[in-house]
Amino acid sequence: MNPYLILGVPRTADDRQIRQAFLEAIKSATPDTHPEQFKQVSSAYAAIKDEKQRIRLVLFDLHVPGDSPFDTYLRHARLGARPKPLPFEAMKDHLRSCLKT
Amino acid sequence: MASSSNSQTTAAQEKKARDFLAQGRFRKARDEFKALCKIDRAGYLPELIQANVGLAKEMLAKGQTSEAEQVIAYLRTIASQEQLRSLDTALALRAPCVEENLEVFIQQLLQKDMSVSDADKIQLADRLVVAFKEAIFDDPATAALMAEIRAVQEALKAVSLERWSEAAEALHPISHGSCFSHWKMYVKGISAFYQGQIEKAVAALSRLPADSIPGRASQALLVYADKSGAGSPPGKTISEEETVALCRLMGHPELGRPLAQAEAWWRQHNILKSYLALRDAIPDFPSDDDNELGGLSDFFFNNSMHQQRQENRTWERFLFEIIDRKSTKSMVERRRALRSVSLTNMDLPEVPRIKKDLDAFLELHQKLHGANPRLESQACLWLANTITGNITALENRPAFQQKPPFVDLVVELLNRSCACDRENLPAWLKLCQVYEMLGHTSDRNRLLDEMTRQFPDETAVLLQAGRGCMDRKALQKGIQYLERAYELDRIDPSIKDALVDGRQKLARQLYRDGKTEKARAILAQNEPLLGEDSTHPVRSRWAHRIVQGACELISGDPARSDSCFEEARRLSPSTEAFLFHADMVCRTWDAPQKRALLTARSRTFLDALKGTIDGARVANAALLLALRDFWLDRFDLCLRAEDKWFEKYLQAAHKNPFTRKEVLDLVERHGAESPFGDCLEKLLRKQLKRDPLDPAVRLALYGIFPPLDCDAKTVGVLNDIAREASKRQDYKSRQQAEKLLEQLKKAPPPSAFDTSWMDDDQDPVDTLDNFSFADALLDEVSAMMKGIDLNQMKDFIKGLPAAARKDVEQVTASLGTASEEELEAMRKSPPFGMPPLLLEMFITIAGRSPTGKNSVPAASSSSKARANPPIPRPNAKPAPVHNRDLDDPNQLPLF
Repeated sequence: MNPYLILGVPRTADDRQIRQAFLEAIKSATPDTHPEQFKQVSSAYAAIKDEKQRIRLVLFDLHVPGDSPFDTYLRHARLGARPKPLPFEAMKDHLRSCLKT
Repeated sequence: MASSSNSQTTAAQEKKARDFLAQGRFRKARDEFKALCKIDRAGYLPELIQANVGLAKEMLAKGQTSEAEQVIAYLRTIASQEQLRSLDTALALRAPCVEENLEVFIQQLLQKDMSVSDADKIQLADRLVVAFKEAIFDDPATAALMAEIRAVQEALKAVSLERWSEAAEALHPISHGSCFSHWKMYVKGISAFYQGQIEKAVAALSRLPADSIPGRASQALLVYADKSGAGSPPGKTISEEETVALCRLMGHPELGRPLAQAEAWWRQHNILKSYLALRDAIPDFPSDDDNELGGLSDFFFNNSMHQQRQENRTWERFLFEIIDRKSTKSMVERRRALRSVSLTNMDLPEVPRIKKDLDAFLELHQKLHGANPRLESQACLWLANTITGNITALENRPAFQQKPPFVDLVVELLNRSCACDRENLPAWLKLCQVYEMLGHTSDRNRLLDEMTRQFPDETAVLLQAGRGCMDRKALQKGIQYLERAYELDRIDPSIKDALVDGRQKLARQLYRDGKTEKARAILAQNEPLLGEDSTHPVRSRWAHRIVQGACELISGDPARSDSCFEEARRLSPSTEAFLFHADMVCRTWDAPQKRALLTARSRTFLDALKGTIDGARVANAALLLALRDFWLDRFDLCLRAEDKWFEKYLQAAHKNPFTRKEVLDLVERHGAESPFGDCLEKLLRKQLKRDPLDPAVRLALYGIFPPLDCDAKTVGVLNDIAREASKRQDYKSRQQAEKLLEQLKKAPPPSAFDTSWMDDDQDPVDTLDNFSFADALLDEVSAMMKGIDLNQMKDFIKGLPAAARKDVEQVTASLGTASEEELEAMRKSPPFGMPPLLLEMFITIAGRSPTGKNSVPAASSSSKARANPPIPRPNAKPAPVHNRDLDDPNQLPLF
């Protein structure tokens, strides 16, 4: 997965900002409480912790972020900000679209 | 008679009609009962109604609404309102316009009897909610119903505005048993979901009736929340509706349909169509952003490395096409395509194209993301590494071999890499390595000097510089570099090795120059670095004492020398190891004036070594073979005579007692590709006789002769070994057997930097490795040989380039020292498929008497001759150029 997205930092972030984001992330995802999340955050940090790693990522990263297009989308959606409720009109449309005649 | 006959017919017809009804064949039942009603209307009317109701329901279920309406219209003429209520409900639920049927829904929902099922009530309630229509009714029951509908709608509105407490309050009017209670659950579920309380949300939403609107609306949220399945759990395919719904809920409504199409193509293993489904529909795709589109772009462009060959080729063709035709959708797509094809097409002949694509990629990357010289430096280094590939291909290149392909490009790339980023140490080290392999000593030395200025505190650089100085006999300077490296890193064993070795070399030089005391002082400085490993050929104390002993010998102090050798013998793990190592030290000593002394000393060691054969022990063989490898690597020596002796030693050890551990240890350290495979096999087989099922010993045999094919027999044996190992709780052997099985079963994994798996053709690096100028020369000369006399050939050899001539001289030198039996064997089967005349020519040039006959039978095949070549390929390792026999140390000159 995209390490910038996992750590919630922009591409322009420097070493210090990335480290800060990493430390923040592992505060809530310790190896004991959230081992999987901790692993993910640690891998993300290792991938972009310094300029050399960031360059390697740009040039050689061949990581596939999902098993299929939908899976990739879903994984990214989960990493992104928490979804907001639809506006009322859009919600009405959504509910009506679920009506089977 | 007639009446009796009629009644029989009616009974039969009635039975038939009832059978149809029981079988659910309502149309036939209706027709039969309709006919029977003409005979007895009152008697058969209930069944006629029943058959029609069944038929109408069947039609509605099939979506034949208008046909069902006709049947219901007929039913209205024969059935009561109560009997038709369920049909009216079903008909209303299928009406396309919800708003127009509100009153019907309300009436249906208010029915107190059992004519409307609970499932239908949920359907009716759903329609009333999603109609979002305000209506005023005087009737209290209807008003109460409307209040509940309004409560649901208000709660939904509050949710959309993220007013969670307001939503919860709005739900109060909905009673527990209400037909809107599932809406209450839905509102609670989505409120929890949007507040991040995923578990609570899942608990609520997963309990909703699947066929209800809230149930269907929750599916996308449940897919989002189901992290265990990552959205596509095995056996479950996400429907197009769910994909669309999820994208809508995530705020990407435009992505839903194209993503569903892309998913469908993907599941049919069509990467290209899957990609195009998104590319054609989404303007910003592909993207470099850190969002869903960026992720999907990574997915497609990185996936080609992991796909099946056929799928991959279609995708690659597409990428090449859009690059070559300049028909990429955007700069982002072009940049990604260039990167992808550069990384995945690493066949050596493609190098110019990769270089061009990489340059284009760097240019585009600069345009899109700004200049980054460090990135350029890394990219150049990567390409240089890719081209050089397996470094041994260059290392084993004969001195006179043509320049490897693209070597100028490699040097250019590495220079560019160093220039772009002066701190890119791997690029400098690589350039240094390339110069060394190409024999560009002056370039390498110049570079090392520059590197020591650029990286004064880098141990890798200091080590390289130290070694470089040692090679060019600048011993003092080399030691200074190595001492600095040791100051910086006191753990790295390679630094310690180089330093001890360097000091030994300097001490030898000083001894030779007569500066004995200074030399002794230099050797004494090595003391703190000695003794960590008693089997180390350089840094063990006994090995160091041997060097000291040899030094004292040539400096003219035999007593001191004897004392050192004696101490070395005492400290060494085995007498054989001491004797062999001491012999090799004396033999390889570069002191022409003292050669006689060293030879005499060497002879005493050899004599003693010969005497150890009766007491040969498997336990001592491991160190002996390790020392053999050390000398083989160190001086690129040929140890043919020694190898014969080692073989004898191992055969003798076979007769003496040994333990299982000893033999396993020996095979583990020296089993793979060992020239003593047969001896090791004998030892293992002897051990196997003691315990025929021993899994570790059986596996060790596989270590010497690895299975090549995954045939049923091999699989059976390995499975058997794994079972036996489990039984004996020998988990290491079990793991090894299982690993071996896995390796046999699966194809070699693809690697980003190894393209051999991608192409049927021979790996170009291998071709490079196997190419021998000598072979090519011999092939060409073979063709020329007929009708040419020896004098002409001598002229031909004189006319060869200096490097080639040197190698030919090496071959002839080896012929000059071969025994008569070996020459005879070569005449019977000339090496490398060499024509007999050419062989005779080499023999003549070597100063040996030719047969005078040119009719020696030619080799049956070159491959056969190469299977057991008595003449070395130039610079090949181990090159069986002359060596003396251990039994006769004076037979041939020392090295």
